[in-house]
Amino acid sequence: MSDQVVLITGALTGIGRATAIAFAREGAKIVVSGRHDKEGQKLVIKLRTFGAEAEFVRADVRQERDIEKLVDYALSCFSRLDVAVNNAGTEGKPGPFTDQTAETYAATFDTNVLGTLLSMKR
Amino acid sequence: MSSPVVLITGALTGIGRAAAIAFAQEGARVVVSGRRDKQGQELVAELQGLGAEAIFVRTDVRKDEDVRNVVDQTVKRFGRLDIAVNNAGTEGSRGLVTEQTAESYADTFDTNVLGVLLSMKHELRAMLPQGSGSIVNVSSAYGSVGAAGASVYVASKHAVEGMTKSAALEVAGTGVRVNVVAPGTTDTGMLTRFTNTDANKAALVSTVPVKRLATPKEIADVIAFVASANASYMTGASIPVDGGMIAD
Repeated sequence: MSDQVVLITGALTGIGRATAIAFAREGAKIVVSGRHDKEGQKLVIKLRTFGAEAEFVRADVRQERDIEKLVDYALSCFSRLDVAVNNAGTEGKPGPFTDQTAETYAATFDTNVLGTLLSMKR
Repeated sequence: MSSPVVLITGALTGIGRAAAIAFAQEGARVVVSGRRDKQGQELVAELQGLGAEAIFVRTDVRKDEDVRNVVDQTVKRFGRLDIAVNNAGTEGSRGLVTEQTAESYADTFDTNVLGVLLSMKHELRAMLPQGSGSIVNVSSAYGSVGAAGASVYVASKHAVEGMTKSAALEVAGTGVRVNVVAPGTTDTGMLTRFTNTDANKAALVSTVPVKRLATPKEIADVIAFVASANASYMTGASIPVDGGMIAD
């Protein structure tokens, strides 16, 4: 898997972060994305300590423009995309059906479903 | 429950219309809802012709205030809500994942997923205080298998399956049951739009083990059974009515 170009959404914490580190250890070229610049830059530095080439792109998976820029940037840095891990997700707002609204619905589905759809598209 | 009060969304055509007729023939009191006044009034006249009490309430299931209103009107008119059939749905726009947009996604999910969520929310508001009720959602064979070129529709129907199971667990033991019926290829306007050409429709039918479409009545009869006291131990269940499609 060495030299593969890997793109990870929701890469800054949890499973996404662990995945980025796992790929870095295998020598992949990695583009990590998420919504927090500071954490993104810190993660890139960490990945480079494993000898991996790594870049951070700020991206909100709910915005198609962001995803388009993210994929374009990965292609401009590494000229290809081999692996995409669409990990960005939210637990939403747990609660009974009778407490849910169009807003709580959208807060969860926009990230977990639309985000993955747009990511696969790009 | 000699004459249960039944609310049906997306009742004006296809499976919803067949369900309205099936319940009317069994002597239910029926509230039909949809987005077109004229077809709604025509259906009410037809149901009354079968001897049923029936009203139409114009409803867009994508709008919380509309869904709240149709449940309130049902309770106001008939005093209770026994059975809800959340059938309103759209085939969305077919196409490859690479052709989808935030708009094509929302067009499908707002009706198929948010519509069912809001419907259950307001129906439960009426049913839980009664300590009884039966909700039947309508998904699709594509609620459990994928289909190339139909990712958004497939995803929306998978969501209906998941919401059904979660709602059933939330209200288990309250007297309210929540189930989902998953129709296969059914002879409706939606299927005609979804397949677009006769050749596509014939090709789809050729993949169905029983080699024919379902009639809307064949789906409606299962909905009526699942809704009834004959299925009193059934909750959180998904019932395929698909001519063997997902067994294959």
